[in-house]
Amino acid sequence: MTRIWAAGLFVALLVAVVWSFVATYNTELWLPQQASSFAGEVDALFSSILLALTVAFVLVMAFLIVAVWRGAARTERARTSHGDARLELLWTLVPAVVLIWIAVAQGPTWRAMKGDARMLDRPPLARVEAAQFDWRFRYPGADGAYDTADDLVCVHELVVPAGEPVVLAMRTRDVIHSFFVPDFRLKQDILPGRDTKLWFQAPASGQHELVCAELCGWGHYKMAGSVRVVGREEYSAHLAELALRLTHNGTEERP
Amino acid sequence: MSRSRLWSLDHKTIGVQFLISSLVMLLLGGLLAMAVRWQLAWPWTEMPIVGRALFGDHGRVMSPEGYTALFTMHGTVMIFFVIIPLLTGAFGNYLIPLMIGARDMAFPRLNAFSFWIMVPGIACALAGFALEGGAAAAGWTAYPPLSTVLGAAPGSGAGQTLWLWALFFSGLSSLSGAINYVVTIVTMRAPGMSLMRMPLTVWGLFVAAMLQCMALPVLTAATVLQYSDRALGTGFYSDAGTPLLWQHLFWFYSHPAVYVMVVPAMGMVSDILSVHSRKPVFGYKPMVWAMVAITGLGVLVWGHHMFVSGMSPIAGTGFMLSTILIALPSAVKTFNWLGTVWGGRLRLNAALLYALGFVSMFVIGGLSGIWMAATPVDVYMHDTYVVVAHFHYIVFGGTLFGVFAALHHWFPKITGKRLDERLGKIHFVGTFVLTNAVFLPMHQAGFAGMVRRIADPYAYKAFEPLRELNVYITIAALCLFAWQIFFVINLIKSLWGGAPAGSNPWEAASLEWEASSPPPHDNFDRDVVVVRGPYEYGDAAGEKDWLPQAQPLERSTP
Amino acid sequence: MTVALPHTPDRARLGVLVFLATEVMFFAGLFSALVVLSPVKSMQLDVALASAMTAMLVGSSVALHVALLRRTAARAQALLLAFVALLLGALFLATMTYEWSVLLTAGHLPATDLWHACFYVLTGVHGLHVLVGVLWLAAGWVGLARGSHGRALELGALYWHFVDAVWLLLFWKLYLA
Repeated sequence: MTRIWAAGLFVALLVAVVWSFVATYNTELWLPQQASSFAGEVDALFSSILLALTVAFVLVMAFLIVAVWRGAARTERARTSHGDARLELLWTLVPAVVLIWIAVAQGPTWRAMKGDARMLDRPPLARVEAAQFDWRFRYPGADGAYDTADDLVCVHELVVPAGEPVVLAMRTRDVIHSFFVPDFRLKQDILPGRDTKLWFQAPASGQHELVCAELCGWGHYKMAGSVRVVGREEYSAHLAELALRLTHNGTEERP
Repeated sequence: MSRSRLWSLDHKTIGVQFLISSLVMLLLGGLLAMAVRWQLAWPWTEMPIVGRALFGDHGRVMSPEGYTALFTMHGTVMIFFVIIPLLTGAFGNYLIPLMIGARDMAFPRLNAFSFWIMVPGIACALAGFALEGGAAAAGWTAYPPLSTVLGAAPGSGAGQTLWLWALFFSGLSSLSGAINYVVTIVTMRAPGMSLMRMPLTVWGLFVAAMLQCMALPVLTAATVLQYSDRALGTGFYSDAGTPLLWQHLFWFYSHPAVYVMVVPAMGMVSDILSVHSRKPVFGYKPMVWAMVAITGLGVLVWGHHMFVSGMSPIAGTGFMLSTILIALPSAVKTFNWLGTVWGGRLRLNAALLYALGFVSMFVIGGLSGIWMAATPVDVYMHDTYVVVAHFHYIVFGGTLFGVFAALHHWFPKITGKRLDERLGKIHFVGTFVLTNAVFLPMHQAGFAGMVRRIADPYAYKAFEPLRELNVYITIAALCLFAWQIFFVINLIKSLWGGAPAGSNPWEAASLEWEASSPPPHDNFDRDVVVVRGPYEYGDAAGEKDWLPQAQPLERSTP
Repeated sequence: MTVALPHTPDRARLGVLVFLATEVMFFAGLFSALVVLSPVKSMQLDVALASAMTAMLVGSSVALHVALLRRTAARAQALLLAFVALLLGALFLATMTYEWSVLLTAGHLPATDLWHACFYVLTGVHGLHVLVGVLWLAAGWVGLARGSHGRALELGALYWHFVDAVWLLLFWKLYLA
């Protein structure tokens, strides 16, 4: 009978949706590890919204399923009803409250992430130079200024110190790219013709994949990079090694 | 088909022309999607059967350039040549005059123009594939400088120029249609058809037309500037100007376009739910106001596509608030749909099933949108597969299911024959199951961080664990595509041998069912007079369980 | 049972008005480039010439308006005035072509800088609208001359006044800036 499989299909959808979230929760089909100071807040916001969405979805589907189940078996006429003002008020106000909560709850994280002038006005640790299709990272070197002879440049891998705020100035040499480190929950487009600032703080050492998230041409798919978070000492050692490589290559080649 | 039929000025013929062209383009857009899915599951491997013919030059496998052109054209075709013309062109044309009791559109010649101007648009869009350098490949969003700097993207030569022309023609088509619909609805309603007696289908098409009038010219202006950057070497979108200008102008149109792509379907679904539940639409006025609110807010939310673009975070907060706000009318509509079917006497036919499918999947797509309204979460989800899942639930699970519902509901009116119910149900079950099988797991791919528009996800170590998931999605997508054969068979079978429908097979109240099926050239064989709203169903309706909108008042009150 | 409509709405007029609303949004989109990018004015424009062009379009609008007012009372006069309006429009296009050719030969190219880009795109797109307007008025004038009531001319006038208004904005923002 139609109503059995029809109602069954909607039940199946309800179960499948809820199951898909439960079954994949905290597996590799879920949000990746949390590796920045924002990550916890973003994930908490994500999860609490998911909870609200699930409640709303289950309620809607439950009513839909019951309506289908009962409606398909109904033999007497439907009761003519053109609406109910109190119900309208109820189902406008309740979602409104939830939505206002979401609007308010996201404020602090958003401000910290993109609008925190105390962080973004600090001198950048390094400059990200994106181009089709690779990432370059330029440290200012001993003189603290960019585009000078002692700049330290490396390709593909950015090394940053753990436990301190890291500010990056980002440039692109051609089209728009987007600096996306999933583990940091951080993404920022890099526009041509300007320095785009970004900051984060990674609490612990680790290796994190850097993804280009804005279509940048045929090689967009292979614009992978990485961010390595290391302790302060290792960071200094890394810079020293970069500097050594710079002078070594620079001096020996010339007579 | 005779010449006079082809060049017809009749809104019904033009509607059917739009329907046919959009369904053909839907097939093409679907094929493009299949190629995209193949690459995501088994990158750089030869496609069986077609691989040699398509990619013979590239060692029989897709090139990364080809992949960028594929998803660009998939989006372009589906949005500009399938969904928008299906809703506004096909159903807008066919239904508006019939449902308001008019004999044709206000401007029949403009109406024919709106169809025929789409033909060069389609030609421009498709011609790109034949070009050296290939079709446009900067994404359907065509962000500069990728789209403006020659050589930045594989298709950014002539392919991108043709793409701009395609958009221009499709814009002319939509705009001339929209002007026609607004004037027709404002001036040509039958006596007694007040605005608040119009079926929600007409309301949906009405607000969509107004939205197009407001937003579409801005896209045209944006493409003029892009054309100028490319052809004259101006720098509106270069670093001298700003690439953000394009993004603002583009999304000023393209977010409202999302509502153009769903609000008419909402209207049609409301009507179909009501007719087949034998119950009036619950909360007609809130439904109308929700549509108007969506239209009004629709032009204020474009910036939510730009939270990570480098736009000021304060502007971001403003767009976050308007986006949060627009969730409200959508919620109101959903609850009123439930109110409509609740306590109804449901006929579980294919039309109603598709409409119920629309509601259930629109809810998924609508709810997942709330993540994107929460700015810090959007920073993570932007340009990942969560977004892909989200808008496919709206446009495929929502709009396309609405279109299937509408086809089953109005096919008898259009052709005089019924679609086969059994085939319709088989098509519904498979499509419903497979649609969810394809798009539900895309959320998980997005959670794991997989970004859009990458030819080989596994070039990133982080996405390697998603290979199995992508293979599964692709298999489901291939099945979904194959399953549409039941719809094609149903169309052909019913056209040739479908049961005669009669003028009103559903015992529906709105005006189009007053006309015979198919309606004659002037739609109605008598002048119709509207005496009540479009949804008089149920136990209060009289001896039958419904009262037609156009029945003279004297007859119903003794 | 028949119910008469309270009035017969003027569909064509409403159609043109809705079309003009879309044109407002179109020019708003183009003007947003000027507003958002706010380029520094980097070319010497001939304000006297532009003032003459302004006078042509405004004069043309006025002539057309009077022509439409008098089309039943004084048909010959109306035909003459409408013709003057048409000529002024054509003269505007000729002047604009002259202005562009002077600027282009002096090395002011669209690609020179953002100001040049805005100037050429805005005046160019407006010029195309004037061209469409002139053709529309010409068709309307032929209709009126052949004895019609001048319906096409009346609708064309709506468009023509709009094109005129856009020019005033351009004159203010580009020439007087």
